[in-house]
Amino acid sequence: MYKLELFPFGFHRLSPNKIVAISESGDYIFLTQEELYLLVHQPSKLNNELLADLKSKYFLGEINQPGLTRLLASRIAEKKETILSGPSLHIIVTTLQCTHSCRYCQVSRSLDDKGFSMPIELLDKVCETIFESPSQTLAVEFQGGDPLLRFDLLKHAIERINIINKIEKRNVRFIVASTLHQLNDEMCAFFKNNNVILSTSLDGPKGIHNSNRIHYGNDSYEFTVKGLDMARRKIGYDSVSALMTTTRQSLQSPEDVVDEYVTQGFNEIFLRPLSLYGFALRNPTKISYSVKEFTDFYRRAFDRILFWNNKGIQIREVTASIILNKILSTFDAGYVDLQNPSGFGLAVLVYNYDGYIYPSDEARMLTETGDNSLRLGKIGDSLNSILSSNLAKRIIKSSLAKFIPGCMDCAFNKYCGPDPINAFSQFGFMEAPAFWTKHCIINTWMFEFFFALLEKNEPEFIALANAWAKPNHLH
Amino acid sequence: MLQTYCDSININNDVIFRLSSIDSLPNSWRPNINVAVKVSNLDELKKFINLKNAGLSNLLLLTSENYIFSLADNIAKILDTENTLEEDDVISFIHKFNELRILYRRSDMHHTVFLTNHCNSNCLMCSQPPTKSPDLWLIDEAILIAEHINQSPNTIGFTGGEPLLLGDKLPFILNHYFNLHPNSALQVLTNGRLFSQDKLTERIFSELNSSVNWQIPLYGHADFIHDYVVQTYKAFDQTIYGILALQEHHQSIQIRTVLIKPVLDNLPKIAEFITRNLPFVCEVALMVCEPTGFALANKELCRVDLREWHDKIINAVEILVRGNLGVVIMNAPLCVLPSELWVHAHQSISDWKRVYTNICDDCKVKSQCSGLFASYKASWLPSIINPIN
Repeated sequence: MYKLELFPFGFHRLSPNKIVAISESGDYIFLTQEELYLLVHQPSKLNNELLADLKSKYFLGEINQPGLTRLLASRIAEKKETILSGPSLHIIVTTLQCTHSCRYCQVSRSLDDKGFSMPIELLDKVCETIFESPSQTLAVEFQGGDPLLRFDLLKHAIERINIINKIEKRNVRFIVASTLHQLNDEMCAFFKNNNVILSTSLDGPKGIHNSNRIHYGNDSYEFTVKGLDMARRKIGYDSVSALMTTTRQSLQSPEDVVDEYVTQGFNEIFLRPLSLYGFALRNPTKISYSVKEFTDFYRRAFDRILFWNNKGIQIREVTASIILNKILSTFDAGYVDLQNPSGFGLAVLVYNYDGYIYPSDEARMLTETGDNSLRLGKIGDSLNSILSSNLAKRIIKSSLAKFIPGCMDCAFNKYCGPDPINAFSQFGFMEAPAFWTKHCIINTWMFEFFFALLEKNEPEFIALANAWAKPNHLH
Repeated sequence: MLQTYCDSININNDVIFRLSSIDSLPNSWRPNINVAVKVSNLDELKKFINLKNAGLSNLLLLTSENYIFSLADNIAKILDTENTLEEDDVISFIHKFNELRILYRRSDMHHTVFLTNHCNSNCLMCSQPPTKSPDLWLIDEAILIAEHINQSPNTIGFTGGEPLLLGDKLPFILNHYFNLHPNSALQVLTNGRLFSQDKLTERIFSELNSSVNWQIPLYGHADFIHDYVVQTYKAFDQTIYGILALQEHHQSIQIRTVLIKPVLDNLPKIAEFITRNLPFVCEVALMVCEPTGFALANKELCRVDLREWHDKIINAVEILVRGNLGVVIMNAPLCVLPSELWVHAHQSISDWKRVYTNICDDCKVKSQCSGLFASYKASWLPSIINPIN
């Protein structure tokens, strides 16, 4: 009476007798080898409890049942919301000027260099183009260099966007990525009045931070912390978040890095691996490391984060939140980096000081190494022409997980997506098989790592994981 | 529903009327409805007769006093010796049996309007077992109830049987209530299965003018489990389709479930299913089984001791709260629930069905407790009842 047809699914072995199976809806279940065998070959022999679980998670059922088919379609559509609702993250690179020469930085220019800031006419066009996106939520993020070095441009853009938004009535968020060294009272007042959030880099305690982030006077750390304090006092305690970039120097001290964040009172930390472009390529052996070295670092850092959470300090790790959101939540958190097809150029656009629009941060950094091929169009082009450009189509085509070698057989392809820009920068072509790219190797490890933790089913971790998995607007 | 017997003279058919005191009559009387006036003494009787002579033709006399009953001549009159009726009651007088049925009582916390006795499912624990006899009179009665309710209540619940069996008449009735009682929230208890018929759904929503909260039961996270509880093949898939159709029409939805054994076995998984697949619903209601109707015939599945299921209930509520869904627990006496869940408990047993035991006299939280179904006396308690101190 009840047909037991097998629905498409993927699976990944966590250990010899422990498998995680993931269905088209992104629901998952842990199976033993025998259960997997029965599921595929003799589902009628499965016990009722497991059968019900598998049916409720879209592994088995009657294909084309009206209700469940419609439900499955909504689940899949919800996962695509970030890329289907129009570009929601708009990064504006106002200037490349910066007082730092960070070892891994791809782009910074010294204060003397001319011609590395965006002309006002172009900035005005950017502000208008942003509203061509149909997305109700618009996150506008200012990057550089250090945007505070051209505070005039920042102020101009924010004020202009606010004026346009009086009519558009979208949900607009402003973020400024900066070292905070130039922060002063006038800037704080302006940021406070316009609900601007600051994002800064804190690579760890003073020693690690200063050795990565080269600054005349060797005092990057001191001034960043000073800026942090000022922002907290004058704008608001939660007005600043921080992220770190892992270099060889950080690898030995994951606990110190995490402890620094706890000491500075942050409620979140973003542990990010190194991307090797630009200036970082010049020092490959000094600061770079293997994937295994990064994942060992991450494992220790994550343990330390759990340690603090157990003591009652609520500090959340952002990479973990992205991965756990994919696995545990029905609603996508909207991080553009892990979408299928790629969010680059679809969910995020980068408007560069050089007058061109790029699909991602990495893409505009490649330009600084001399490669101009990743330009979607010119600032001033309509959003429609940008989104339907040849490059945009190529990015989409080379990131549809179901068709990319490696992705199409990967169990995690309901959550993940290839990074064609990473592929391009590592191998020179976007269509490189995903499993060659660092992006894939690291994310595969992440999914394995978190599924192994979920499989242990420890109540404290499950509660924490679910809290972190909530998409931001529900936090 | 509450009913009582009476004596009557000069009333030759069934009548629905609103009960009013003589003093409230100026506020209560309307030309298009029937009003029974409570007369307790000669003074009031004189006033009543004057009103009748002045031309108020839709008045009945209702009294609990024998002498008044025998005095008034040539008028339609009812003798209610039980004297349990209240001001603004909407009452149905059944001529054949000299019976008074209270269809609506203002002082009740919950108001239910029955739209049909027919159903397209056959749930194991159904407290209102369906019949096959013709029941279109319930529709006329529902319309009359709407007209005879005096002060609009906060909420009005519509149930059956299965209200969707009314087809186009359902939006007609709901609109009628909305027009007469625009400040009352309307709730419809339905299995949602007929919303899997697109044409019916379109017709209903093209006609419906009022906002409605749809309360839909789900008894499992997989078809064979839910279908078993409702004893109908394909019910689960139709209900799911129906819920999605309601969402498409921007309707407010409550998912409810009844805490019988097959449901309790899977409660956390049902919670997980709702959180993952139906996150747009307003709330989830966990209901203690009313020990009446079909539940009596399916005792081995319906009779549970809730204390044995605390872990599963707590786990399920945790999952729902984590998924940002509101949770209400209904029909559960507080002593039977773990105290951490008291915040979700609602006093939901309809007044005419609610009782307490002798043990409850010593209980400090009796006034906040939902009490017990009166039917427990002939069947079973949800668990051991203990006063809280």
